[in-house]
Amino acid sequence: MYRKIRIALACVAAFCLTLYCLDFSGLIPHLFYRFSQWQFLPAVLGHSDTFLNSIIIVGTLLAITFLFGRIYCSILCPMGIFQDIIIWLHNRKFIKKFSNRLRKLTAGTAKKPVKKIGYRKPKTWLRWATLSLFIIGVIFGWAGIVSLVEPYSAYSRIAVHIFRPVYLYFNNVLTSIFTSFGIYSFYKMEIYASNILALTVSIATFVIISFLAWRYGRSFCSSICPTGTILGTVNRVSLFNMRINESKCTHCGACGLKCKAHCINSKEQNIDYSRCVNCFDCIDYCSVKAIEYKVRYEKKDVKTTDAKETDNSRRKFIATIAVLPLLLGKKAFALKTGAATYTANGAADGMTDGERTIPIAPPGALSHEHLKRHCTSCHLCVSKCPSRVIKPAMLEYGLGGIMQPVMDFEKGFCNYDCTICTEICPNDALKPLTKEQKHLTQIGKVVFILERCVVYKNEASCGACSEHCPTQAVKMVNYKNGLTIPQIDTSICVGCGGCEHICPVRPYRAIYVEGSKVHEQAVPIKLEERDDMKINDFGF
Amino acid sequence: MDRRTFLKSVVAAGATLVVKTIGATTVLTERFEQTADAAEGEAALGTVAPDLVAVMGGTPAAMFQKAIAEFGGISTFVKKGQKVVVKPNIGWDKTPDLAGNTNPELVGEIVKQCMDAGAKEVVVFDNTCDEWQKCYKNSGIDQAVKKAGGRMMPANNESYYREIKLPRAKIMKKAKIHQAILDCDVWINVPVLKNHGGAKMTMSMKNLMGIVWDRRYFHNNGLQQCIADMCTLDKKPALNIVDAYRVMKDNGPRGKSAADVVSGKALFMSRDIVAVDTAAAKFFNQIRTMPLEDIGHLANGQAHGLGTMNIDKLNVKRIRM
Repeated sequence: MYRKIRIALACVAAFCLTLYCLDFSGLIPHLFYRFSQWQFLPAVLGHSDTFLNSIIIVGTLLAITFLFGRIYCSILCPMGIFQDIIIWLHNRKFIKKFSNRLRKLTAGTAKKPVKKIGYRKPKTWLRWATLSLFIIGVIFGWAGIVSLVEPYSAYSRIAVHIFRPVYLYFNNVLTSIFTSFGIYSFYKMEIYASNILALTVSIATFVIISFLAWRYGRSFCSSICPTGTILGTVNRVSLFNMRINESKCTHCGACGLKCKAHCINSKEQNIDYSRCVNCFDCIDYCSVKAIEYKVRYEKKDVKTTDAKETDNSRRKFIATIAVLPLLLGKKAFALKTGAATYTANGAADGMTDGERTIPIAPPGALSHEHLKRHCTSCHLCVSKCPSRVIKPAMLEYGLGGIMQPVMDFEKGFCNYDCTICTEICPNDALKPLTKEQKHLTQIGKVVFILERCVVYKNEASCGACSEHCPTQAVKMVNYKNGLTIPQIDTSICVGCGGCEHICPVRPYRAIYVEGSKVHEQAVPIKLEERDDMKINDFGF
Repeated sequence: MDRRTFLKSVVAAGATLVVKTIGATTVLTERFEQTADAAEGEAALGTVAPDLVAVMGGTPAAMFQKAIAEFGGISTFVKKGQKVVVKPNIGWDKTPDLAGNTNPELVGEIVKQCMDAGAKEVVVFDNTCDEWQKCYKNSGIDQAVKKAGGRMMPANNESYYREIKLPRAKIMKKAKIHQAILDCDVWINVPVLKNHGGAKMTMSMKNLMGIVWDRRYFHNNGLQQCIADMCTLDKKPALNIVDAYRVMKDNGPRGKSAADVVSGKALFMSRDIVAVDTAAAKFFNQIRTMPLEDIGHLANGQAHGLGTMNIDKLNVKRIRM
């Protein structure tokens, strides 16, 4: 019963979250981004800015874990559900038959019967080392690297970089068919790898996690995942838990063999709750109904489990909680230093030979420092940007910021009125902006190089840059022979990249946007009074 | 077009020319786009249709109705069972009151009349500058077209475009054109009248940039000549309708705010793409000085024999509402 409910909820959550990552047409309601928002570590990282929001999400998830166990890991975490699917496939008979047949064909021998794995010893040191590294990484603004093991983001990257191109491909095939019948409601999408690094990492994650799940069940969740470590520790003291009823148990060992987390030691009738993901499989598989989901403090007849470790881990957990506030303090400090280095760099950057030297962080990122400390590179913004200007970074932000979102104006430019990326970011790495706030957010500043301009070089009309400029920070002014030439005003520039996107000059554009390490405020544009001119004649 | 229809139209076109000469009509301009069908419409009307119609003072739809009546109705251009394309300017993510795009009411009315005339389908598209779905939606054109029974077609992907040669062009000898234009029977060009930072003005001729995939080529290789080159396309618009209901006088083609917009309440219609643009530019000069010689693509178009800038010599019909 519990198991069936768990499977149903997990399917809904994973399906909605994945579909939202894949969707490009607005088919999936915007509301579905909540499935991304209700993820544990992203919410923890979003802590400092929308404190209340974060407290609600983190608090609720911790409270649920405290009450009912690690059901987050089985229902909400997409990476957990992904592994469950792999494990489910692994247990299908037809797949086993197929792999046996394949083995016979290739190796000429049947597969040796593998010894079934029951209980495994916990890899406590690995878990805590990973969690510590994660915390240190985040504090020092290396979120890009440490988020390789953050389960939601790792899954989201797989969805965006592997599943989405497949989805687009099918869309394009469908579109071709429908278009040939004169139905234009579908449209084609360009399929391209926005960043080879992100693609490689996603494929590697996909392969490694699939392999681990296939061979060792939920071993990623038990020994690597930082969320798993934190929630597992809470799970040790949770109110409801699986209990082995000794009076009913026949020591058949079926539960231990079926357990995805390999955490049931049926010999000693112990369950390692720090690894149990509350999948409820054991309850269903126990033929004598000896495993029950019960309140912990109900009776004394239940054998206390892993007494040796409990205290130790709890202590560790409390220590971890104590570290978290450090994030807040450290952040304020780093912001100051970040600002200082920017002014130092800013002076030098004026002397460049005309290519962007400072990467442009998406709107709402506040500063490179803020982004680097909050973003776990889930790439939801990359997937959702309608203008396709957000792409994963290579080394633009340095090693610690790999794969974090950076603006690239090759495929398009940032729509003046669009705020979608800031609304959906689950980590608050991109803070929500209203349309009015975005109109005044300067993510970079325009740079114009006269010597390269078509109007100057060829003495021919162009004006493509000014055409695309929403604030007229690039304005065409009279030049000579009836020609007009761009004139820039960086104070009202928002750095949308319209000018850079459309500038036809190659290999180096005549106009581009230089990033700002700390986003600045643009001067509001002056709007002239509208004159109610009356035209009474045709004029010819 | 198969061989039979081709031969038929050649014969019909020849006959039209003969009729024209006998009728001692003054043909000042070479009208490449004059089709046999159009001549039939005129014959049905009993009079010779004007070269250029200018309407002032009505709503976009009403002004269109008046103007098209002068040509003998939309059925002069659109026949039963034809595939029709209406090509407005939908370049920007702007609402109708900001005049960045062609008036949706006008586009809707044209689509409706084409459907009423028995068109098999009416397709509307533009290769937009801003993100295309936002443009289609926020311009109000998507809604207006669908309501009138037409279809919006995407133009966001290179695979919708096919390369054609432009043998008469000076610079741009080939271009990738949207398949809707290449595959249709007849198409109608519906630009909006705007100031333009680079091309000075954007009207009918400039609107053809929206049927081409690579617009950077224009900017890089002499915008004014490339615009005229593009208009040498064999399959010319059957009709050019310049929407001047709201006119962007400054900061065009995108515009900054409602302060850039002037209420023009006018509409210009002609088969002659150069003449209609000249008329619209002269109208614009009442709002703001804009020397015709600075709008280089007009003279370049005339040099290509696409039409005439000398609109005083044309049969112009002026209508006030």
